[in-house]
Amino acid sequence: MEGDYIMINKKIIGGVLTEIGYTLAFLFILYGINMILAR
Amino acid sequence: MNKTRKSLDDLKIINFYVGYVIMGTASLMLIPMVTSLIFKEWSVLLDFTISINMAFSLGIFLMLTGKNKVDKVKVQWKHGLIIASSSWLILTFLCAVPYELSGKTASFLDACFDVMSGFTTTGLVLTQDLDHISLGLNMWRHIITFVGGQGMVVLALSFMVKHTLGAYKMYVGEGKDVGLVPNVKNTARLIWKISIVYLIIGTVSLWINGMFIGLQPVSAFFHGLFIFMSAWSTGGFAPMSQNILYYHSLSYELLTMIFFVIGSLNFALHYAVWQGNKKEVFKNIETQSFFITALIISFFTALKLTNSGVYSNGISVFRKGIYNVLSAHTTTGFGNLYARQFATEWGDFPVVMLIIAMLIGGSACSTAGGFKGLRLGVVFKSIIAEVNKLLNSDRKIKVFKIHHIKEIVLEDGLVKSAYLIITCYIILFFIGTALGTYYGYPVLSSAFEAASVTGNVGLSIGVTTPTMPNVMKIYYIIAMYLGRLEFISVFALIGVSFGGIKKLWLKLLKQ
Amino acid sequence: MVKTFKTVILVFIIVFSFYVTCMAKDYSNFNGLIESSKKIDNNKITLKGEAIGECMNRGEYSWVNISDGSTAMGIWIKSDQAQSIKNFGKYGYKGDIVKISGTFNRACTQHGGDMDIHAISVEIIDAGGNVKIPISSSKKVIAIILTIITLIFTFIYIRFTKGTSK
Repeated sequence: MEGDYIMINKKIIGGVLTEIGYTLAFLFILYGINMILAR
Repeated sequence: MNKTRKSLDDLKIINFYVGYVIMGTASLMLIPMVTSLIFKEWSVLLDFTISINMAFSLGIFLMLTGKNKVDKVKVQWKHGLIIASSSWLILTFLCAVPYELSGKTASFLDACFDVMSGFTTTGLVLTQDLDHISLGLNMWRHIITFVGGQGMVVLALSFMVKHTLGAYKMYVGEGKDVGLVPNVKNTARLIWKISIVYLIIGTVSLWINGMFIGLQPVSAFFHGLFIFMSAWSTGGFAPMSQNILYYHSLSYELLTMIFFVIGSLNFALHYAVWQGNKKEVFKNIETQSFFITALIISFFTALKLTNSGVYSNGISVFRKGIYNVLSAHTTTGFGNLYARQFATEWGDFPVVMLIIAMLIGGSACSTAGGFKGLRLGVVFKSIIAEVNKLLNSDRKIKVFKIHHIKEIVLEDGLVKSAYLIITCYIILFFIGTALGTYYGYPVLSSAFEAASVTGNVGLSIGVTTPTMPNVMKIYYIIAMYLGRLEFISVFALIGVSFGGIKKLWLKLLKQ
Repeated sequence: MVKTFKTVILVFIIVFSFYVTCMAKDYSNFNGLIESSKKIDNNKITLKGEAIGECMNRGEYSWVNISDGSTAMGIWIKSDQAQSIKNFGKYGYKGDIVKISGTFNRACTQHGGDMDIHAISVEIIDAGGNVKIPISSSKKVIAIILTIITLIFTFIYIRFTKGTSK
């Protein structure tokens, strides 16, 4: 039971970090393009 | 005789569930009531007491009228659709009462406008003097948008213990069609679980960042909570009249960008990623569609804003240009410019880019509005498929598929419904634009505002004001409603109402 | 000779400063600022408004947003000047009415394109304070009546449910 709870939390943390990570990467790409264009 | 009894049964079933949804949503008024109590906003507490009692009385009454039929009559599609669309309508009136009693809205119509704007996560505002409204009312505004994003029916479904016969049909009636898990009640609960996890993470991050940028601890918490609820639901409401410009902070803007982009994603995608399927982010047709369109629109907008000299350094182009493009594309509506600046400073091309971004919108089964990336992807692939069919001989038939969590065959039914809904959105958009020009607003401004309304975005170019013609306010309310519920359930409501009126009329004529 | 010279200089200074202060257009309606933003970009202006929300300290300088009743503008002030603003508007509070003189920026390059004013001088015109929000007696009556109605309905519902489940 205890193990299950930690597993669920690990999944949630993993999921959230993945999503935030990909979003940051996306924003970074846009930022990069922006800075190149705004030269 | 039997026919009238059947219609009466239909009405009773609908009444029961509508009453149920009303009870669920009105209970949320307890949150602003507690807030006002803590901060000693006595007049506001009274306003909410009046409102919650009005709602509860109506809710219980409706449930009473339908209680005896609830487990006996089968809930059909028409019931589900009408329950969703009529509860949204009734709730719009009920939830406008606190606004009206606060005296900060110029009319009850304005109050209803703001509520519909909140439920549909649009974000256009007619409430005046935002900088002086009570914490209770601000809490209410942001809760409305947070719950509206998830869906009031979804809220009610997640608490339903018994009476779950018609659950799926009501769920679809509210504009969602993805089942995360086979059971609709559990799907509803999962949607809430995902949202609550992010609510905690988001509020805490914004709270801490808020204190870093100079806000006092208590107010930083509330700003964080409100801004998160608005970002996640891609609503666009903010506690201050300057919207995101109030904070004058890149870090705050960055956090809002992260949360509103994630918030605009399909819940089924969240679920898949949380289950460990990270590749879904790349393979999903909606993320692919969003990535491509966001990139292209951002590219051209940044290019033009730089070349025309509107902003003189890169970081300004990013914070004013890209930020607003993403805010528009995810249909959030957070802004860090004054509405009129789009009209007076940006020039036509970037405004057109924003209009396109607003119409395309975000992901299906999310809090975002617009055509939805899924439909755009389907349309795009169907064009390729058609061209392929024409060019190849009759014997070679290539089966086209799209990837949305699982592989889905691009069959005619799917394509047809995508084109149908997109057409409905475009018609709604054009009527809105025409209406604006009728009342004397410039074409591009009318189009911008119409796109904002149709796509449930919330960015304004200055058309939406308390002095706007009432006809436009009413049209915008209808358009926000149709856009959010994706037409079908509202058409069902209209169809049944007219059908009912027609039957009544024929009956009267026969006598 | 020296005295005449000094007087001439003094008169010159007075006339010049009068000219400069007249040049700084006074704004009480911020929509005017937004509409003519391109024209007054980088000019020195004066504006008056109620301080709202709170003062956001960013080190040596702070942000104070001031409102003309419907629109609010961001003012970038030196933190010690900002200390003189004691009251900020919110529910139940009226903020200090301040008069700001400073440089208007349509899209401030220092602040990522924000429309703002970099303040040179800050003057408190009118002190703010508590605003009493009246509690309407008719609201109290309606609230009580409606609560009773809700309780009655709830009672009927519970009775009805118990009745049918028998």
